[in-house]
Amino acid sequence: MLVKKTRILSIIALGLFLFLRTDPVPGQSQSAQLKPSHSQTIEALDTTTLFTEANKRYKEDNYSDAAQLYEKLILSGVQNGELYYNLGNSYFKMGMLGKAILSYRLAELYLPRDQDLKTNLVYAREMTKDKLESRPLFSFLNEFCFWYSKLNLTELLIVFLILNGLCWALALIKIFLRNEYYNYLFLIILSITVIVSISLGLKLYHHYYSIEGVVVAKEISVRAGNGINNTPLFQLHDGAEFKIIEHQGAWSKIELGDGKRGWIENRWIGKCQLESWPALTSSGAST
Amino acid sequence: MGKGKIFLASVILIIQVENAHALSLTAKVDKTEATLEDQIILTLSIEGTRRAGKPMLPPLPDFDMIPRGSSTRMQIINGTITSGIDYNYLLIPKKTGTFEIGPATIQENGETIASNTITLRIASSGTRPQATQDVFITTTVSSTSPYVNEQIIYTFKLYRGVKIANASLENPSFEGLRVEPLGKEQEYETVMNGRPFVVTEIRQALFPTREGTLEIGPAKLQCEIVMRSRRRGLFDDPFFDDSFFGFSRSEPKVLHSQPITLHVKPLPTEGKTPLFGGLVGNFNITTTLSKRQLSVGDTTTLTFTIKGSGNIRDAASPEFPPSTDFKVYDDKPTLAVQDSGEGFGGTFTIKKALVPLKEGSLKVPSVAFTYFHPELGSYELCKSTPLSIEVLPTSDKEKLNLVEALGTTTSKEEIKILGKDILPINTSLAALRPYRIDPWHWGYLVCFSFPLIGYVGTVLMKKRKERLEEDLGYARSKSALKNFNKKIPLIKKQLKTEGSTEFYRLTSKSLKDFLGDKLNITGSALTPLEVEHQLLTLTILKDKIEETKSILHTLETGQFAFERHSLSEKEKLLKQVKELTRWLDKKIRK
Repeated sequence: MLVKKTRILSIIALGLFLFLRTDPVPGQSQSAQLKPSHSQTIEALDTTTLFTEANKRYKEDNYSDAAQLYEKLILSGVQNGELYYNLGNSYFKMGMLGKAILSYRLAELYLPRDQDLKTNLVYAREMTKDKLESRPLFSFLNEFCFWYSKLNLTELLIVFLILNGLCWALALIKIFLRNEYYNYLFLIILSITVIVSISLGLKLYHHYYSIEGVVVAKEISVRAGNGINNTPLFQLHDGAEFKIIEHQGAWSKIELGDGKRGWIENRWIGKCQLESWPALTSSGAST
Repeated sequence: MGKGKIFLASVILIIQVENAHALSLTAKVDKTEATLEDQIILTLSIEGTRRAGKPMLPPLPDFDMIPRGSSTRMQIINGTITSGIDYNYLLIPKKTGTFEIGPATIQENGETIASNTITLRIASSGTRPQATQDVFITTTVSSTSPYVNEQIIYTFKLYRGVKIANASLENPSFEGLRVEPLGKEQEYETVMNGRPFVVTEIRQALFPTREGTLEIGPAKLQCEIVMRSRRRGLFDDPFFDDSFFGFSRSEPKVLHSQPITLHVKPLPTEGKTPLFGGLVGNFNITTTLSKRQLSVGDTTTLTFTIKGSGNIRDAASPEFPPSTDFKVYDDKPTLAVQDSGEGFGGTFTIKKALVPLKEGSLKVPSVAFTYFHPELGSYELCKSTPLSIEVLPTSDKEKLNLVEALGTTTSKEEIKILGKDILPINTSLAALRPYRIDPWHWGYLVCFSFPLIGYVGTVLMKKRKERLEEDLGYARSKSALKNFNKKIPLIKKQLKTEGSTEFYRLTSKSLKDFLGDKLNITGSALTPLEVEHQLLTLTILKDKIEETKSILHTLETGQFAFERHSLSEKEKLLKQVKELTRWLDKKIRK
């Protein structure tokens, strides 16, 4: 009996140790980080060298090469907001507003408090042709629930886990220690935990289900149905942002901030999802 | 009999009235010759019945027709009764010429009855010299060829040599002109051709808003000329001339003035400078300062006053040159209009608060603007006189305040945006540190569930501990196997001792103690039958009960009947006992 308990505890301890161990040194175990969808042959170049080279190309105003190298780094599994930010800058300099906005928005998933990123994203949005309305619910969430907008998903998850642990620990202490003030403290922590867990749920939903997209072509027609023969309803230009509602084959149904809906061909849009951008099929900056 | 006569007389009377039906319609006018100034009264009389409908008149496009009510009448002359209705209309001629009025028609029992026609001759009012007329109007303008936005005076004059009543003036439509009234109407007496006239004069300032030919239509005045009644005698006083007393009658008149044509000239382009703000007339500018001597940080009010006659409403603030010597705060400009009979003009006042930033003698910059002088036909420059002020140093305390004020308000400038670009890339190698967003990582799941498991585990342990403390039977049941296992080494020691009953005693006791603990009874005194009885109360396999009973029986036989077993048999027996206890421990739960 005792042996069994000890065994369970040791498994949990091992799990914790593996989870909390330090991150691998950059460039050492990148292959372990690879996602199946992103597995591709990587040139036997050190990531540091690649990164330095990309920065050099950028400074030499060779933005196309810089963008390709940043993409290569991201596809090799180095997932980091700074790389998406640099990629966005390269696309912006190339005049590809849609791809720039898409990269900035992905960088935002990692770096929600980065002011440089915010400034560049705002500027890129100013440069776009279409005047689009933002969703009032999300702007309210961003303004009022600062933890929702100022923390990325991982950070919010860690805050939730800490609060969760604290909550259970307090609940445990409550069994042995019966005190009125202690009860109030427990209720406060419990309320905060509930609020944070709702925020986390919303963030998870937003991350996985409420997919947004960006137009990555100069000018496209949004049609009434998922085919080229359908009536064009309105036009969108490079960098226009929208919500993707449905996928059907090579077409996606989209909705703008003001409620306008229509169908758009997948090849002209970029999805604000980490796994979908940079697309493996796109040859990056050259397209 | 008497009643019958009256009835007969009434019938005859009605028949006579109805016989008089010979319905007729007559049109008549008060005069057949008139001028454009006259009003003609048209009366349509229906004779014969009062029940006929209203007569219809053919359209009269050359006259304004105003209905003036109707009157009915009945006459009995020598037994002949006539009745009728008169419809009155006022006809105001619009143009000269000979016109035919009528015939008017009326429908009676499907029959159309027509009236006579009347021929009217309308002559021009100008055929008579004005001085010979009793009442006449004139309109004049000060200039018929003004410049755009130049002021011209439009004067309306009503001359009356007789008394008039109920006068109403209808101004022409001043299309293409901005109108400003000039004071109140004036009344004075004048003599024309030896005849005295009372003149009422109304003046208006007109500003042409566009170049080209503009037409000011004729002004129209409607009035009634009071005519003295011939037969008055006793009340021969002008006071009784009022128609109220019935000693006078009035004749309606409509007076027209001559239309005026204006040839508006555009403003010349020659000499037009950017300083020209649209003012046309005669203007000047004066400058005043509320304080000529003040300390640094104090305020003085600089006032520019643009004064003159012309289109002062179009005045705008002249540009004040930027100065590094002063901080300038603008006030809202004010406009005071003067609409005296002489002409339209006014004063446009611009006030600026000046806060000197330096000490010493400072020059207040002057302002300038140009306006168009229509009489000279050229653009004139109007410049304010430059002023200077003496700025004295402040006391130390005030100086300190000034420095603070300068630091916070006066020396700050709006940031000028020179260009826009994105911020640069990140070159730090920190950009290569992997940072994965994977909320479903098993580590997070462990971290999430660990506190929960810990809590549940602790609660269960606490509950178990409490039960063990409170429930003896439960505590005994839980420790039964543990106690039995503790005795195994002792039994094993006795295994190899040949001919001893100790093995059987210890094993039997241990088993009975185990069963006693499990069933919460005293175990050591249990017999196999009692064990069977106790176990039967529980839902346990019959075979196992038999097995327990058999083992206990074997052990008792060994202990008391000296039946000996070999070592291997004893080991087998012990093994059997161990397995049985393990099985029973699982099956019997309290």
